[in-house]
Amino acid sequence: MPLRFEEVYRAHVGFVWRTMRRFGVAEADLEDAVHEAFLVVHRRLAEFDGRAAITSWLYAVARGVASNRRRNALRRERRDALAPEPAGEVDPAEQLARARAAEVVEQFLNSLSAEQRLIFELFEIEGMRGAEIAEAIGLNINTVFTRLRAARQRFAAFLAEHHAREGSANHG
Amino acid sequence: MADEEPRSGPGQELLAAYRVQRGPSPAAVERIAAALREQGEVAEVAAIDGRRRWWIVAGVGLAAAIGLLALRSSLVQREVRREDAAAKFERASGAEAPVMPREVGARAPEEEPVVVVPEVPVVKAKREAVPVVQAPREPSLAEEMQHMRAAQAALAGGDTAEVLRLLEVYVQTFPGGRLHEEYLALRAIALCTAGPPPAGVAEAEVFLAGRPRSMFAARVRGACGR
Repeated sequence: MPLRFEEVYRAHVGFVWRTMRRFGVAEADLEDAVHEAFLVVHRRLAEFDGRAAITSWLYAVARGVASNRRRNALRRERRDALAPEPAGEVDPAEQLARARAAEVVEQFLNSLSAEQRLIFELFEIEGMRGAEIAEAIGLNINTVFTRLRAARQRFAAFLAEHHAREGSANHG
Repeated sequence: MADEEPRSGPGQELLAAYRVQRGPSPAAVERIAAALREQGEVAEVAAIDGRRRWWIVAGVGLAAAIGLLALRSSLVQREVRREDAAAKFERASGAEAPVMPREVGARAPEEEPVVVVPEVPVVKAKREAVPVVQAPREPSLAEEMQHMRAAQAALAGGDTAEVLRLLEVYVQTFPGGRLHEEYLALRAIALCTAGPPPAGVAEAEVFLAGRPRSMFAARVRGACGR
């Protein structure tokens, strides 16, 4: 059954967003880049034959757009007029909790090599399977799992260390 | 394969929080969806139900807090929040992760340097065609936005009289326009800013009663002290 564009958009907009970020798209340009990527997705969705995972396909679309895109300020202006970002409505406690958690993960990710980080992110953050990752980034699947296994072990060690550090800080 | 065991165990809450924090804000998701809808061909991106959206945001926020508590963080003291807190926007922010994966030759769609905005096809009239009565052209969203942007700019400049004038022009030009909600919100804000208070406050109350979850609700409350 052919995929519906809306379903693809709703299910994977976050994935495409974070993929664009990984490809170095600046924070201020992310919306525009994601918008552009989904225009490509919409135009080409019928070509997606389902043999590969949709995330592998979207990853390639995002890579293409990120490497070739050009800024379109007008498009952003139009979006802003459609629905301006509301201000002053952020729950500080919730925001702080999430930001703090993200910082902890970021700290760990920064300790990995670029390749290991990418594989760990695609697997643990994006939920891609090993074979999908291998196809998306062109690595042997055994290499993917070797890198992933090592990264997971480091993550477990990192959490234990972090836990101990936080514990001692609380009791000190 | 053992390596593909279900993702569970320590740190999953943190990873979930990272996923949200580094992802698009709900407002950004809806802005892109709206822009795709406006693109013409992409009509099937329906707006997500507001309540569902906020439950998702609230749920992930809660998971982040639980993860941090599990790590005995002393930084966050969560308060019990009322149900309507679920309607609050969050804005994703944070450092970029400029990891550049290596270029590889994976099977993939070809790259597209430029995205061409679909244009409305122009039907050329045949030489001997019978004249047809054209239906009145529906104003484009871009035209509505142009008016609304002008009103926003006037409001930012503190010229509330001009805001009200522009809004009046808008509502006359686009009765039942697609930005009617923004029109109502801006009108209430402008009236509250200009004073005397009762006029704006009354409009704000009507607006907030009818659209308590509107994305403009916070601004209206802020301007009108509701």
